Amino acid sequence: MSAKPKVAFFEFTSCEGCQLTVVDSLQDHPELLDAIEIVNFREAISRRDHDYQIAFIEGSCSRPSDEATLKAIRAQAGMVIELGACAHLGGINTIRNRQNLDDVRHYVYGDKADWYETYPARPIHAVIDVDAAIPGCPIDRDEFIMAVTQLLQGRMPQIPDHPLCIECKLKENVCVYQRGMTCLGPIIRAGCDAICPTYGDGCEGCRGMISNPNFDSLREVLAEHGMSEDAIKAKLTMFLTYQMMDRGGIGDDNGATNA
Amino acid sequence: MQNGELKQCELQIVETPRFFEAMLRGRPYGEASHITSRICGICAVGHATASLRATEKALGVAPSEQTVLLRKLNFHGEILDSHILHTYMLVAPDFLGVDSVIPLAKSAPEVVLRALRMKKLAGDICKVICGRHTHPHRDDGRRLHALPVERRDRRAARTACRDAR
Ligand code: SF4
Ligand code: SF4
Ligand code: SF4
Repeated sequence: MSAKPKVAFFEFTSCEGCQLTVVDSLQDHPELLDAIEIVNFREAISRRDHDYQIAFIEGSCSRPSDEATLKAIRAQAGMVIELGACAHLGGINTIRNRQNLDDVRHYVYGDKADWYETYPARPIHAVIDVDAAIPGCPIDRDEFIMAVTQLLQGRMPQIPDHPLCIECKLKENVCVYQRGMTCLGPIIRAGCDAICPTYGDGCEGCRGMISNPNFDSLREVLAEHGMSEDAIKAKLTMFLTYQMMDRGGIGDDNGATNA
Repeated sequence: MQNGELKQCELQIVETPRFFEAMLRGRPYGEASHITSRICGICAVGHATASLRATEKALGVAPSEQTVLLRKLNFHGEILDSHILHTYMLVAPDFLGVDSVIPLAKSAPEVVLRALRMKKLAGDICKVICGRHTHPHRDDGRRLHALPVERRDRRAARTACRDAR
């Protein structure tokens, strides 16, 4: 890629935590600003410029009016990259996909429900083609810097596709299962430095499943460790609702209506 | 701003509705603070802590003094973090007539680098207590899964203090 590519950041349904992580990555890598020209970053830059080569998209698509904006970004950018779990998996926004969305709107906004358009939250690649994804909720600073470095070298970001457990073992963590807790590590993509188990929490799956998860065996393990069917479903639908639906469902009652 | 006078003010509400209240229905209580921290990545600790307090109130559980103190320290980390973000990266460019902090990194690099160092220290305070500022873990209302007394944390704390000087 030739000198100083123009880079734009966009957010859809998100908490802006991934963009904040981009800002935070400057703490250790201020030289990033010498390597790219950021032309669009609403969180931190007031100027807008619609001439860019690389677009990082944070957030899920959760309303019909988002689609045109996404298509315009796709038409402009040579490279579109999903930034974080909301964009990559639909993120926690997809939790509500399993409920009746009219009810959801009324529950939160009462008689003003009609002011708030919405439909089932989806990852960005469900709406437009994307070239790569940087997973995580939020993204990992080092992985972001690594991804940008690789893009500048003309390579695609190399995101691990092996289970978190491997990374967790390399950190010499005591497995949280040994401490009477549960963890999605065996089916989740490594790359976050196993941060949750390292700090004593089970993995919640924010980086999404690896491409060949041993799913049935994980369900068995969760059940063996005392989780009820409902608890297992909850665990598999915090970040993974959309991926689960893609796999053919959650084995659900209330049936992922996407109403 | 021009000569200390406000010339133009824009209000943009770009956020889409998120429906957190509805999303929480029927979920395990231990998830609540992890879900609600995703209301905002900038003040994630605040949202997570509010949720923890609500959960504890609902369950009639009182956190230990140690937990309360650690949470307060965590808050201070977040308040420092977001004030530095606000003052140096969002407000200063407006007052100085530039469109972002990026040109300031060229014109006043020592100030911007100091801001980044202070922001890192603030984030590291949170990191020591809850793993990361956006989005905290380790504390989910069931227990503080680990206390920041492990060697790794002491080392992180020392490095953070040294870097900040
Ligand atoms: S992936 Fe997580 S941190 Fe990133 S925008 Fe979505 S909710 Fe925020
Ligand atoms: S704590 Fe989780 S990621 Fe680590 S080894 Fe155990 S199951 Fe795997
Ligand atoms: S351990 Fe799991 S939930 Fe935690 S950051 Fe990594 S992938 Fe996400």
